[in-house]
Parts: sequence; structure tokens; C-alpha cells
Amino acid sequence: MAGIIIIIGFVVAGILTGLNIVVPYSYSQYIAVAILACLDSVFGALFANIEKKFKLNIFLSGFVCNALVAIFLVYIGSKLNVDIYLAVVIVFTGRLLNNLTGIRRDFVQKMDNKETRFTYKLKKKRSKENLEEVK
Amino acid sequence: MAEKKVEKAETKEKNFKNEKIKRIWNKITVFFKKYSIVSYSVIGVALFFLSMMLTAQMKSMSDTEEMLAGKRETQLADDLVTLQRKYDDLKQKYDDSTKVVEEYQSNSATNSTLISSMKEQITSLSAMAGTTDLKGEGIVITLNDGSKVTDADLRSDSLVHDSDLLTVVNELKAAGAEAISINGQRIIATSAIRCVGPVIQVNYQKVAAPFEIKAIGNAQYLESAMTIKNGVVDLLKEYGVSVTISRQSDVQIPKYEGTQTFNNATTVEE
Repeated sequence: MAGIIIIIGFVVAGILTGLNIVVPYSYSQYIAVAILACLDSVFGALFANIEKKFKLNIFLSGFVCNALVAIFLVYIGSKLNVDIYLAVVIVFTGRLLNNLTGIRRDFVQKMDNKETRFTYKLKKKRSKENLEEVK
Repeated sequence: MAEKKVEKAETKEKNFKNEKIKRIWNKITVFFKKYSIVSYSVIGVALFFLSMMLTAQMKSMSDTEEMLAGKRETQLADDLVTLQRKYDDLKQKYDDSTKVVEEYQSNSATNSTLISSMKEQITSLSAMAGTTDLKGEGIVITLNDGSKVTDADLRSDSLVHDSDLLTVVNELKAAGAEAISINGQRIIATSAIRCVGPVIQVNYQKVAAPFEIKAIGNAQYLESAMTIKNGVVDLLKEYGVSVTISRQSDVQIPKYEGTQTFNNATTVEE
């Protein structure tokens, strides 16, 4: 619980500071790519946590490096007159969607298991009742 | 010995303090490890940056979207060019109008003199046009129908005709009369003197004998112009019209009573 509270506090603080920052229009592309990279690493972390492979070092390094590399690529693309940011966006969104599908599958499977257990119990009960009736 | 004791005590105190700090530290580390606060806060810092960037981006995008929504780059370039042109035009206008304002401000002193000169012009022009009462040095001529002659033919001549009045007025004008009136009717540029049946009309107003012609001007010139040999007065006296001329230092001439309107004439701007 303490961890969740800390995280929520940080997120709220981030939103409040973000409301007071105005991004110049020319930098908005870089920020957008950085946001995508960060979101991707966050969802990747969630997915890893579900698979019990989460490591803080990997998460942090991915979080920072992905964003920086994405920004760097977009910068190079703008200098070379190539829309590299499109490639970056496609790659990161693809990974993000992959992570999301992983999380969703896991979640659905868990729910499925619960349901089966629940239904199994119900079936057990019913079968017991049936047996008693038969007796 | 005493020094050693003191040292021992000091070391004891130090140890005690260290132990206290250590205990607190241990407690903190245990607390942190129990809830794994460090890792969570590290994750929190990362999420802090993420949420900050997200909100800032969203906010600034929603601000700019209103203007740039659904517009391609070429369209925006066109808009930019047109706006720049408009801006240039407006700036030009602004500069011009500021210049005009500056001129007015610098001429405000001369403006008052201009206004006063214009007022003077108006008064002089209205005096000429006959829209103001005037007074000044001048002469008064009185013409009356002759009563001495009884002959019918002559009698007609001895009456004061419109032509008589016209010649008198003409002579007065030639002599430099500045304002003329006949029986209180001001003679202006468009005044007509004509015979209508038994009476004479001046400014479409009936006037009858005796005719009192007032004229403002140099009285001496006017009188001499009237009484010159074989002049108007002589002619009229020959006809049998009674003429009296008197110089006056204060002749009062009323203003023109009618209205002057131009229906067909328009001024030509030079």
C-alpha cells in the first residue's frame, strides 16, 4: 500500500507541475516521442512484473535510455530530412500494444482461473447435493 | 590518569551516540526494506517525469490546436503570407495616421490662428452676401414721384421707374458703395429690381414711393458720383423726379430677409 501511495503522490505532483509548463511548438515532437518511449517502458515494467521478471535497474535504464535515444533519433531525422520520428512512433506503439496484450492475456487468464475455480466449486456443491438427493 | 579517564568517557559518549544513530538507521532501513520504499520512489520519480511531460504536452497542444487544427503545412504557409501582408498594410496605415496626428499636434498653435482667420473670413463674406446688418458712413438718397408737372405724358416720366432705381443703384455700386438698400430691402448679388404693374418689386417685395436708397461707403465719393454734372441726379431731376441726397455718418442697412439657396449651381473644386 505504501508503495502505491508513494507512486500516486509522485504522479499527482507530476501532473501539477506539468500544468504549469508550456512546451514550445517546435519541441512538441521530441516530447511526444519521449512520452511514447516512457509509456512503453512503464507498460513493459508492468508486463515484466506480472511475469515476475521485473528488475528496477532494467526499468530505470530503459525508461531513461529509450526516451533519450528516441529524441536523438528524431533530432537526427530532422537534420537529415527523414521522418525518423514516424519509425520511432511505430516501433514504440507496437511494443506498447504488445505489452498491453501480454498484460491483458494474463489478466484474462487469471480471471478465467478464478471463474473455473468458482464454477468448479459450484459444480462440486451441486454434485454433492445431487448425491444427497440420490441417497 | 585523570586524562585517560576523560578520554574513556569521551569515547564512551561517542560510542553511545554512534549506537543511537545506528539503531535509528537500522530502524529506517528495516522500515524501507519492509515496504521497499526506495524502489517505489525511484519508480515514482520516473512516473513523475512521465506524467509531467504528458500533461505539459497535452496542455500546450490543446492551446495550439485551436489555431492549427486540421491545417496542412502549405495552407499554414499561405495563411502566414496573407497575415504578414495584412500586417504590413495595417502598419503602413498606422504610420500614416500617427504622422497625421503628429501634424495636428504640432499645428495646434497655428490651428487657432487659422480658426480666427476663418472667422474673420466668414464675417466679411456674410457682410458681402448681405446676411448681416451693417452700419457706417454713407449717403441716403430719397426719390419721389414728381408732383409739379401736370401734363399726362410728362407725368409718366416724372414717376420713379424701376430703371431709375437701377441706374441709381448701378451708379452707387460704381462709386464704391459697400452696401445698398431700397426701402429696407438689401440689394444683394441676386437682387432684382423690376416693375410689376403699379409698384416696383425689390427682392420680390413690393416697394413704393418715396424710395429711400441707403448706401454705405465713402460719403463724399458717393455724393459726388450722384451729383456729377449730367449724372443720375441731373437726369432724374430733368424727368421731374424729386431727388434729395443727404450725407450721414451713421447709415444703418438691414440684412437680407430672404433665403438664398442654390438648386442648380454646385461649387467647382480646384
